[in-house]
Amino acid sequence: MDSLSDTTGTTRPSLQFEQIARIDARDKASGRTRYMSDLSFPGMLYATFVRSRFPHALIRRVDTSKALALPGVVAVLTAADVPGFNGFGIVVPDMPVICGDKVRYLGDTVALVAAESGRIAEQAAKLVDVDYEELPVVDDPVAALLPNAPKVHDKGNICLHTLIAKGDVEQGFREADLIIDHEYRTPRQAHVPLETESGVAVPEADGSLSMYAGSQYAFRDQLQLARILGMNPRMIHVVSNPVGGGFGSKDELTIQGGLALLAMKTGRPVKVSLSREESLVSGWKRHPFIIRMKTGFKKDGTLVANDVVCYEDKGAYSSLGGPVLNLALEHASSLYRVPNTRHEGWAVFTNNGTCGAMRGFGVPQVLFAIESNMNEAAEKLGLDSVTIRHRNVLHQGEVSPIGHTLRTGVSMDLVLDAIERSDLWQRRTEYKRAERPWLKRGVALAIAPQGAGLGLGIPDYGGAYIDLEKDGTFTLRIGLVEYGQGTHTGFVQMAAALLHVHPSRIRLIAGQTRDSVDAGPATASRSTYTASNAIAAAYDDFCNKVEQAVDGPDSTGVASSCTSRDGGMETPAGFRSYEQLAEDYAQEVLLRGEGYFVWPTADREIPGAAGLPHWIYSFAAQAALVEVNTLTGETQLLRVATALDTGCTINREQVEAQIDGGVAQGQGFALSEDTLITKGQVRSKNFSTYVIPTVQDVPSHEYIVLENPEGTSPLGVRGIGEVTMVPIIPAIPLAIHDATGVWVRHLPATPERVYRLLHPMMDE
Amino acid sequence: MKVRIKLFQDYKRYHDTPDYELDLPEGTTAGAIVQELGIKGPELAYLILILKGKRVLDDYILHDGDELVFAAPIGGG
Repeated sequence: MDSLSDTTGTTRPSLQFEQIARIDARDKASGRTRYMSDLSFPGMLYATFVRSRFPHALIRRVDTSKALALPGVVAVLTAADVPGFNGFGIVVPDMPVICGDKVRYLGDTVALVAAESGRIAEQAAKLVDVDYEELPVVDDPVAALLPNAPKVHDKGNICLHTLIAKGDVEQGFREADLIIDHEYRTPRQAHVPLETESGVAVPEADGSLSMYAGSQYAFRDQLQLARILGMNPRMIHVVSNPVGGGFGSKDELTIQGGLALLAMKTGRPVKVSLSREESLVSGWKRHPFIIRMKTGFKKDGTLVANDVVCYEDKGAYSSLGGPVLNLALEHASSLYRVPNTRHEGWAVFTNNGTCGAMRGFGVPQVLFAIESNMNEAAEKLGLDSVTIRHRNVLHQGEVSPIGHTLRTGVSMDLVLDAIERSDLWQRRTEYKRAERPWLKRGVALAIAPQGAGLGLGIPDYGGAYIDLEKDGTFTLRIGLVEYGQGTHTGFVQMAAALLHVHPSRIRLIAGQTRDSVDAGPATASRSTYTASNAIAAAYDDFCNKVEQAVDGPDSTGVASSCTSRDGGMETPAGFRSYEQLAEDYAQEVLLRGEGYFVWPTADREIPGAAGLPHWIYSFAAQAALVEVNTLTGETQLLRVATALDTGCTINREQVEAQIDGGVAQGQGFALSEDTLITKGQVRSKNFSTYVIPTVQDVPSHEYIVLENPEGTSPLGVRGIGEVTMVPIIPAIPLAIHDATGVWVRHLPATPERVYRLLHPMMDE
Repeated sequence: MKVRIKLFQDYKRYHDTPDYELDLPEGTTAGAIVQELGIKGPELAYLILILKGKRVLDDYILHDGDELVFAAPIGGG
């Protein structure tokens, strides 16, 4: 097992972060922000993606002649028109940009159309004649594993199989006084960002391509597009900001490949903005899981074994399905002290749409199962739900359920203590009084860790530049995209705190390939933590550069004696304001601090599980008050308390906003959201059938923000973007149990599902 | 000069060991190592080179003590 070592960073706890409104708030609130769907260029064409008519079929022939003959149509492309590699995918590039021989789900593209107007492009799309040979549909991930199941891909239906084991799980069950053994099912949640997949590809006069499309990693889009186009990536410039929401749906490529092909073919800018229906049919989704979890306990609630089998419905293409499965398996016993574990999972190809990254990345699915088993055990053993968790939570230095040592900042007990002290938990008896006899109220809590960063075996790095401008202001350059989290405001606040200037003195250039620096993807709760390290390193380098500038060639340029204060720096030549430094040293040459950072990782991989383990985790606990109408099965989420460890809070308002958003998304997962697919056909194509919480549904909120500094961040921060939506997911069905006595093991807990649990005889 | 090479993911198959040291003449570029390993096609198009957290391009001139990482920009969570 890997050796125990302490944290690597040096925190700077004395920093003061100026509390400001979001730097983009005014433009967004006033409508001045120009999203990708707002962009327009001279001579611009409009694209339509011709989607498959069948969820699984061979393509015999594609005839584009009628479409091409329609006046106003400029280009119709098929698979034969892809000049480079006809595939994309962050991990495995198995999704064709344009399908040539086979379609695997309804969102597959079989041709691309560019026309003078969107209406003409849509008419032309209907004229593309595709001759299909239908194939049997594979719509169940368990059935898809059978030897005689139709194959979605030539290599078969297994995208990934992982088995992680520790101790002797059978011996653990023999020692157990109580075994809880159930199957859980989770929904195919859609991200539904306000802005659907939208963008414009612009061919430039020098033969290069500019891609304006909301995404979560401009530098990776650049390489994926270079691979498709067969171009040098230096000839592709990607602008990914602003993004009208993502939640993981824009981590993978969406419309960029098709737009790039059409732009390079026609030599004109080409735009598309998907309709909500097309987005819901073709876009990435959260993987539905079937989870079989058998958990053994001693009489005092101590865990002795957990045997977990997960079936992940991958949908048609790989994307990030493998890493999602592995992160789920890392968290399948949460961070509880379980001596004997067996976590096994299959990511299985089906014709059920296609799934990829989504906030939580597999963790919400398995936390629903383990937290439910914990509460059921507590009830059967006569314990309360806080006591059983306290008895099992891990601390720093202990060994995780998958066998690695937890080395830094473990806050499971901290968030559990905090949620126990919350007003909602302390006064739960009072809160549970309902006004009508058919209305039942319940309160429950849950806790969650969430691995942050990309994990072992995946280089996880980031850079930032701090430039002193000629007028004494600063430009901060960092590649990380912002898609609603508020991170860009936080980046400016961090740099401002380090430089001792007001945030308004710093201009940010981010989320694009030409003028910012690669800092990795805006995923995996990594942005704020990565930026804290890269910006602090850039600040240190900037101090060195100032010393070199002031001292001249005699400077060692290693450990600077310069320090910032009051809008300037103490230098070997005395205090200089930034305006003076700029006047003296930044008129002819660029005074730039460069900072680079590599994430700390474990020194040993979990055998057979790529990307595992993680080194750093986020932590949250949440308690939920629900009211169940026993006559209709409808559940309302009335009140939530969240205890969240930020490590160090950069912007309190944004932390609360992340909690609000996380709870709403978790509420949707738990109560209403599911993309229904039958025989490969999508049944919930718009917001009348895909039901998300609205402002009328979200609960009142109690925020408890904890600051246990993460030692590997120089500012002490840790990511919070994902974990804010995780514990609420089990807390809601467990609160339904507290209210009514029924255990909900299939989410979402729709009125129909809860009603049937409350009235089981009605099914007969 | 001595340069350490670290291969990740699919790039591991281009060398017997994923972590090794090279003795190189001054002026050797990162691109020369890519060429020497024979990385081409879609894997070349998706390759990133990283040096202590900094992305470098194939024209980067290596220095004594450099540790050059070969990887694809895949994600995780």
